[in-house]
Amino acid sequence: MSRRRLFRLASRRSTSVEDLDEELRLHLDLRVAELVSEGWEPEAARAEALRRFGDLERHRRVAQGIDRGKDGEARRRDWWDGFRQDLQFALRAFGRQPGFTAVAVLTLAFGIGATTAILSIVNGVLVRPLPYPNGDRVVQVWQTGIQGSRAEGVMLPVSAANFVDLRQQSTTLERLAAFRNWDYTLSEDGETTLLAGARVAAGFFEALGVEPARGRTLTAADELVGAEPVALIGDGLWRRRFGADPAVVGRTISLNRTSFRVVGVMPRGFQFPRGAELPAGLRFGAHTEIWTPLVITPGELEARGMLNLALIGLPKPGVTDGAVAGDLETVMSRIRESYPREAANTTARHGALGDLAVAGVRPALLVLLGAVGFLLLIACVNVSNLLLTRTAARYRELAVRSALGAGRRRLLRLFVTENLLLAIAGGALGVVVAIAGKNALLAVAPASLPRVDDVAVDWRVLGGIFLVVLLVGLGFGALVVAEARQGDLVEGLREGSKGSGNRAKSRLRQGLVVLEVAVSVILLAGAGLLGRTFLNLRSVSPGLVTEGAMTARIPLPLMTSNFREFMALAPSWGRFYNQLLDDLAQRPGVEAVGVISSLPLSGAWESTQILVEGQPPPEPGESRDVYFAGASEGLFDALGIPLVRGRGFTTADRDSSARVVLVSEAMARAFWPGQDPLGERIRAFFGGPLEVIGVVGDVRYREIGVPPPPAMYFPISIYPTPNMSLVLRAAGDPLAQVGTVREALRVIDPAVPISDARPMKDVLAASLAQERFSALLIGGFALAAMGLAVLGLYGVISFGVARRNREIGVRLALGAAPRTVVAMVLREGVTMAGLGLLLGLVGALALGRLLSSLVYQVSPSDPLTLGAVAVVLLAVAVVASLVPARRAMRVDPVSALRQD
Amino acid sequence: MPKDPIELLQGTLDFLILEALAGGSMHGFEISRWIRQTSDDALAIEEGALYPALHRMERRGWLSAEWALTENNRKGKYYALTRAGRAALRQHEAGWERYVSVVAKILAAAKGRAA
Repeated sequence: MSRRRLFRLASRRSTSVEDLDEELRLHLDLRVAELVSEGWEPEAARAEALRRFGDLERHRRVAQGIDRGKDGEARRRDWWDGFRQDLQFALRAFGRQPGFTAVAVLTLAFGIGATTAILSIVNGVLVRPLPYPNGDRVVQVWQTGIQGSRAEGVMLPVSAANFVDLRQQSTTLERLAAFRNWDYTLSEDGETTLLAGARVAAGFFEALGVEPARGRTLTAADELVGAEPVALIGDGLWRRRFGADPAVVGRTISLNRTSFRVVGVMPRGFQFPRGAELPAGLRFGAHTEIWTPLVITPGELEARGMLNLALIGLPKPGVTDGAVAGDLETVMSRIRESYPREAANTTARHGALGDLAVAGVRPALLVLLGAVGFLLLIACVNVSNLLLTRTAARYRELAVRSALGAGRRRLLRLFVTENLLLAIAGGALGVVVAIAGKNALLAVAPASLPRVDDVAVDWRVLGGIFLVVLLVGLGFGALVVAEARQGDLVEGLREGSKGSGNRAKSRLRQGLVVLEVAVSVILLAGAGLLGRTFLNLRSVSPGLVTEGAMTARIPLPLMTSNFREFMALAPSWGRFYNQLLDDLAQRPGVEAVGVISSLPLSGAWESTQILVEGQPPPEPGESRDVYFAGASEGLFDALGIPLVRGRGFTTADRDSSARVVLVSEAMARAFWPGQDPLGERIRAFFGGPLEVIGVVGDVRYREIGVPPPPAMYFPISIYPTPNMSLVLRAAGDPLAQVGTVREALRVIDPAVPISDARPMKDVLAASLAQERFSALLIGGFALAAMGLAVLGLYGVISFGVARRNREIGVRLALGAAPRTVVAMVLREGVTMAGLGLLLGLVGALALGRLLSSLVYQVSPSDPLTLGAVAVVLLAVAVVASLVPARRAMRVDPVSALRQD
Repeated sequence: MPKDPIELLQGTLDFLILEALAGGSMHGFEISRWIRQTSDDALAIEEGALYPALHRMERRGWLSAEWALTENNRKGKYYALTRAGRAALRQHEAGWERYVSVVAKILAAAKGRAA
């Protein structure tokens, strides 16, 4: 028996079956040889060996079965061992280069995070169907003018009479339900809250496919005149005000001074109609919280011209869009024939609710998505550049590893592990960036962005991120591997860090960086222009003094929607507001107080045509639109609108027999150019001439960027509304007066709520929300793009320095001054940045024209903005090149040369 | 040649293999020869049964295996004890010694009664 082995066999790839057979064969052969040496005949020896061995086939099968399990185990163990090694190695390598690792991970995190944030918003707003079971089928129906009429293409609400006819006669719609906004004042335990509500026709919830979470839906029986008032409440309201008490169903609550029986609670998240979601006509609150039956009175059915309903419909399954359109037109043509006077030129159209809701923002969001995708691309290019730089620096290490027996496959796996690690770290951090970014974006998003509630980082978006991360990781791996392959590793060992530079490839890298710089210049220029626009707009005087003033809505609870009943109540509204104003005016700290029907710059406005006595009526087609509002005598002091000529309103004008009007300077110029308007008389929609008693300062009524339009103000006795905005000027913090207003209301009428209280400053700021959002967004993009471009520049220049280490060493050894080496590297960086800058400026000038409609008092080719962009960019480029340049300067000639 | 070979008790084969390898690595035939020679052919082992046992013990981690050339230049799979295998061997030895001493005591008592 010998233990001597000549040498070990290199482990080879063979199957365990082959191994086992080999092992058994050896045993049998040795036994036969032994038997033969004992004198057996070879044939007999073989038979004897087999006999002593026993059941060969069975033993073989059992051993094989044991091996099969072992093989799988071993493979897994090998793989894990290798992976753990790779992981440890990669982590150690990253730990040695914290700067590189941080830059790469942050770049990735930013690229992935920004993409995901925008993707989440695009997904929530554009892609996901509306959050109702029938969200993808439900259509909105609106009234509009027939072809060639004045109202053609204008989305108008539908009159109750037209709704009833459409519902009766339509053949293509399974459901058609009307609804309108209706504010409700909930009085509960002595507390009065204003709630956004809707009056909805039977079938409203069924059209959306939504059922109450508790209780029952609204039915046609609830709409009968004289039926018990009932209401459905939203989940939020149920939790907030009723402590999620299931017993609230069946209880009565006081809404607008009327008892309503709560018949159900809607499911969590159901808030339709949500303001920005519905483009046509009616103003809905951001979230509806209370739904009551839409009771249509006989009076309303007679007023076919009174357009005040929104309509949703559910087409029957399989009905085409064209069929629905034809059906609506058929019914409407019948209506036109039957009511030639009231329904002249009207027809009805429809469109998918989901599309209509987002039609306005779709292009902007898609552009944003494209921009952000481009950013991700830049980020990836940058990281791959960084990785390549790093690989170049590690050439020798890799070559040595390879020579020591690390197989090419093993090296590739190491690379892939490293890059996946980077990608996963970047992706994980990216999720954080995405959530923060999404929240930040939504926080500054203007209120007009629809479906904001539907935005969430959901599984689809998360899946998207991880796909991106994986692709990015594998992509980097492939890139680095390609680079490593191309510069053959054996070559690498021979040539050391000189490496084998591939001219075409580095050209490509430089080209990409130039492009990055150009894109960031374009974005920076755009951001600069929008930023200046925002600042210009902010410095525009709106014609009123916001400092020291607050505003709030004081809506009067109403039950009737019947016009005649409505108007009969009107004098009582005036009395109420006057009483409130008199009370408030006497309170300490209050300097001025007034009410107005449409607060300037709040998004609410009304305009009308007027006739001037003694002037010819306007030509057909000539616009004489004038903005108007009902205002109390104290309003002008409260808002800081100066009286220019004549007199203002006084308490004497509270009597409706006072037929007076105040006009703005712009109106005076427009209608009485060069003349004195005092004493002139005008006629508007409510008949009877009004005398101009004074001229007040101009106000930027609707948009701050538009010159003040002609405007006029009536006493509230002439134009009373039940939904006035209060404006109060006070010493100190004006918002501190909210309590005072509440107190006054409690005394006069506890059922009247105060809502939307805010400083006037906020009203002004909100009117600029869109501009601010655009400037911030583009600004953010521009900074990001510049940051990435600078990183890219840094990466490419570092790469160049690393690769030319030897060359630089030789130059230094031959006596080149470090200064010239720095200059050489700097020149390279500044050349790239300069090329990019030039390209970007050309692009900015070309694209500036697209911006011309968005900028205010700044030229799209504003030299100041473009100059500033150029200076900033070049400065940053110099800094980015200076870091590798200093590294080049410190190259040690001896060690650089000895690297071979 | 003994008349009646002793039948193996359960687990004995493992013990024998561990004992065989305590002196160094061997391939399967060497192990079977060692058992035969050391026991003077007194044990009835179906030689083939050795291999499932070897593979099972390898998988349990008691043995490690390695391919190498035999003295007459053939490839052989050499088994060696691992650390776990050594521990198992010590345990087996202790168990056997106790077993043998107990059985011997019982036998002595039985003989005393018979006498």
